[in-house]
Amino acid sequence: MKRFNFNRATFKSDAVGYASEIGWMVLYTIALFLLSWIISVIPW
Amino acid sequence: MVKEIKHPTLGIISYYTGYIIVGMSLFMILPASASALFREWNVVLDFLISLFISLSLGMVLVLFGRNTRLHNGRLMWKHGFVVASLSWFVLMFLCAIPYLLSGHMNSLLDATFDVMSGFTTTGVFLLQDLDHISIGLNLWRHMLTFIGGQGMVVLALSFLVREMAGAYKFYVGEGKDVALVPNVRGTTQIIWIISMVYLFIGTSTLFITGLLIGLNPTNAFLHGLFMFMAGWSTGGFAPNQQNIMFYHSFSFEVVSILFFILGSMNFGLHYAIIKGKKMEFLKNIEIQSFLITSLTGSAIAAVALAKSGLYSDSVALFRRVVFNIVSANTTTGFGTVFARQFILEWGPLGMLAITLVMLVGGSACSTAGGFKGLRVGIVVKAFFADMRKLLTSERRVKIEKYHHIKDMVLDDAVVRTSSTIIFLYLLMFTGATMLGAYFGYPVVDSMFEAASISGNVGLSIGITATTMPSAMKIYYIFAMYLGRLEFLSVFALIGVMAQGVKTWLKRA
Repeated sequence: MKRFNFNRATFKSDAVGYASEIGWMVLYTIALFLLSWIISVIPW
Repeated sequence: MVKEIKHPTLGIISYYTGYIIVGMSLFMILPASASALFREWNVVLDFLISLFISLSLGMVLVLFGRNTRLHNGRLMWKHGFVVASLSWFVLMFLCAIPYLLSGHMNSLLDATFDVMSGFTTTGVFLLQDLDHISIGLNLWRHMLTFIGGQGMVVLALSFLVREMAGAYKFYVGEGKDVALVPNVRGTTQIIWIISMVYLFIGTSTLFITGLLIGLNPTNAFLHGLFMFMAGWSTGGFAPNQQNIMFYHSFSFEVVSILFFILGSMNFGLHYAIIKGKKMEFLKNIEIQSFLITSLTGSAIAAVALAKSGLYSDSVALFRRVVFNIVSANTTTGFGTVFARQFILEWGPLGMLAITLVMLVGGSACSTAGGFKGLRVGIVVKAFFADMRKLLTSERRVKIEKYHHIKDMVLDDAVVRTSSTIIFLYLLMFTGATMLGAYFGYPVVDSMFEAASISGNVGLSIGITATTMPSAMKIYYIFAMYLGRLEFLSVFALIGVMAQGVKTWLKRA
């Protein structure tokens, strides 16, 4: 059975992977805030 | 010499169910240790009693099934499904023992309700005086929701049971179906590794946020840990009665939103992005479905509430409306308004938007509930494919595809399975709504609560309370259970039980 290997290169690329996931989430949260802002400035 | 027992099915089911029970029982050591650390000696005793009872039952089941497994251990799909659903059901009672001994529950039914709500990552609770419960019990509540989100069977397959032929059947039985690597043990371990890495990142971030908003270091750590566990597992429990409103903090809400959206994502997608497919986030059908439903739901509710003049500035709209819609869509259930505000202030359009996103839910093979974005995406895509077929030349044959980690063929079997599960969810939702209406709750309130329970969300409009009729509590327990295990496993359990009864009646 293939075992996980915790070498430095894998760790580094995984860290970039986790960071990019969090990055997407930050972008989406900003998009949600922008949506709230747009709706708040339109005089309904 | 080992004697072979007569009923192999019973033996196999007993063996693996026992194994999962033993594994889960051992986790009681953690809250017991936490309580010892904070000198809550009565609580330590509660957990030791519970550990003793559940460990004993687990061992008896393992010993009962051991011979069959050794001699007749061929695993069938029904075994996998029944073990998953049976272990969840038995554990519901065993994990409720510390709740009962704490004195914070009014009855055994209430305690099992809270455990099932934790396991299924729903987040509604009947526990009394939440603000004054012990640290041990609070840790236990959040651990249940964290482990339940990943899955008890996933846990057992990762750490307890050896790699074996047919283990995949257990894994699918618990409502997860994505093989991240060719072997099941590897897949389940990856699920746990991703969760543990995020547990570290999330708890640290919330701990720092807690310190910045003025919590003392111990509280900041505990609240960070609890809120992460509840957010990541899309559970929605919180260590305080007021849920996330307790913190009165924009930053705490923003950090939470990041982690509960992450928690609602498919583990297959996590794995793909972590392993370098960064743009998968935009191409994936589940994410597209989630983006469409959450943005549309947020826009509808925000327009309705901005128009009513209740929340006029962008920060209020984001914190009170968008937060709740996304919390509902990811089936988390953290709430930034009080239960009655939904009814008294949100109005019909806001309520409808939140009810619909609750039903749709998060991603398949994640910790979230609901129909799941994948299924909605597949059915919508199939609808458009059918329309295209109608409008183009009849001789043209086009293979329709959808993108989920890789391009997949949109065949009839996939569409049928998705539609069946959506139909079953809707049936369960209708049943819960009707039951609420039967007991005299307004239909709109009943619909909201039914969507929340069926989709494993946990936002409440005030119906879920210890005073509600027992029939509703029992229906809600089954709705949470069926919703999380996605029907098939529970039906398999009922089928096997019916078969057993039939055989027994024939013999008698």
